[in-house]
Amino acid sequence: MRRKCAVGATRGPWMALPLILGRRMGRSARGKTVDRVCVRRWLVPAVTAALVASAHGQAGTVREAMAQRMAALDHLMVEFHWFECGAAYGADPLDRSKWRTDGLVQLRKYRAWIVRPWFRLRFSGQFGNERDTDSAWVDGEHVTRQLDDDDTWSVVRDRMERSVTGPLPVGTPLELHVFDFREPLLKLLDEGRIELVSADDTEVVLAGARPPPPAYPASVRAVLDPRRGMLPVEIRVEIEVPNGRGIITYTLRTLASTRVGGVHAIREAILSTTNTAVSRADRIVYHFLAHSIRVDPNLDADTLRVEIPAVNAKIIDEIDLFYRRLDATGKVVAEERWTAEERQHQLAALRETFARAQDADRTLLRRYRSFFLITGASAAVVLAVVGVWGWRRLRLRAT
Amino acid sequence: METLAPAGDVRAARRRLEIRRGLRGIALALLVGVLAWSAGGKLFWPGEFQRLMATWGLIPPKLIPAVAYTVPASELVLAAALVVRRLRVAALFGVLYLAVCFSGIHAFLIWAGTAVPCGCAGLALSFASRPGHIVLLGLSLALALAATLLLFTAPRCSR
Repeated sequence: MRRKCAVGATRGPWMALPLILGRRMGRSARGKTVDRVCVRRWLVPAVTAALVASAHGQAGTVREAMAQRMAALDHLMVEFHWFECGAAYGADPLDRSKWRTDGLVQLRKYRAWIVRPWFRLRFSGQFGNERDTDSAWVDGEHVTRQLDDDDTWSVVRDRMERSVTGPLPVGTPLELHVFDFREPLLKLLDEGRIELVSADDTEVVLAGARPPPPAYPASVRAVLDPRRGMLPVEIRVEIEVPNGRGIITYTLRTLASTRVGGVHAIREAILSTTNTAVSRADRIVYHFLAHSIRVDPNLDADTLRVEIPAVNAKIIDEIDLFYRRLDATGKVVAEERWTAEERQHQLAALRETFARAQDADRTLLRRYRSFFLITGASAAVVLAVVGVWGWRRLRLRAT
Repeated sequence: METLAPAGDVRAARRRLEIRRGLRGIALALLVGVLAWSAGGKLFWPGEFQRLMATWGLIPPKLIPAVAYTVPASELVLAAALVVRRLRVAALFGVLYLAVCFSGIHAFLIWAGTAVPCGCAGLALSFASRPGHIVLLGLSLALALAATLLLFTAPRCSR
């Protein structure tokens, strides 16, 4: 059916209907096909608006579900085992036969109390001489205390959340952090650092490439299971080490979940890390296995706090800037105070030492290469001299 | 018609030859002495030499024990071979290789700013300073130069 399209008001979204139905339409006076005009004016904006609205709606739904999840997993007490071992760089971390238990192996028994975003972690090491440690992150303050061999408490108080978990991604299966992003997925979504990529009945995918502080280029991809209350089934984070030195990759894969507060919490997960910026780019595998996950409505931020001992303690306070040693009667037997500038200088020196230690591996490799280069170059020089010497000898014989 | 060189010229040429031989002998003796001196301490205290090599941070740890024995043993063998006329040329090439290697290592340590005791001139004279490395670099280059000169100024009978 060929029809002329009237100009102006007669062009309406209904003109796009034959196109949707797959029927050919007439041409306008200017020689353009009517369907093109209608598509450009009505269908494309309409479909785009619908898609955007749908995406917003979906994102809103996903966000709501994630917020419900966080609320359900609040005021939580979790007991879990944390096992750490190595694996070859290319090995599948899920393949336990590839785990190397001959090198650096750690097994810790943790107890965690969570009143989001605050938490407290207590662990006891099962191997070696690891001391039992109690740490808390409450109201932007971190306190760690540890009982030393001489029955003296070592206490550190500062504003560094990272000090609670150390370099271990313990907060990730507890859904407190997303590896080096020290925030949960919901906060990353709210801040626009990750976005909804796709969503269906079985899988919700979130991804983004906004850097965590410190601002190294990083990307996150998380796969959630909407049937289990947006349970994270897989998370992958890649961080580029500055100056193109390599990539740090973190992965989490959930193996089992358990129902808590109407949603599924991670009960068992395998986490792994690789870092191509270091000379031994092996994989570190962590096995998270929770024995008990329960909601305790009596928990609040104050119950999470770690008490600073009043006797037999060595206290380093980075907030009030002092070091103090207390004897068995609570008397101060040693004290040192710093200004903010002095402490900054001390910490800068410490950071520099740490950075140097991190670079030591790469420097050593470079130096080993230099050694082989020197011995090879020396051999080349001697061979050249042998050549000249032999040529000269032949010439002398000839004359 | 042939003309004979004057007797004075012949005597002068002979003297020059003797001086040259004397200088070669002194150079050889110095080479032998330096190599034997350098090898001695390293062979007597291999553990100490290995510790020094580890502080360079240049040699992979797995190779350090092997290198710690190979270097002084080579120095000793080369010192002995320099005394034997038939082995002298080969020994001079060996000395040249070692001297160039040592020069390279000292140049690297100077460039890298790592002042470490090296044990090159024997354990007793191991300097842990940049001027020390410069002195030892000069000594290594002098060894290399001496070996090269001895190779290229050898009298016909020994070639």
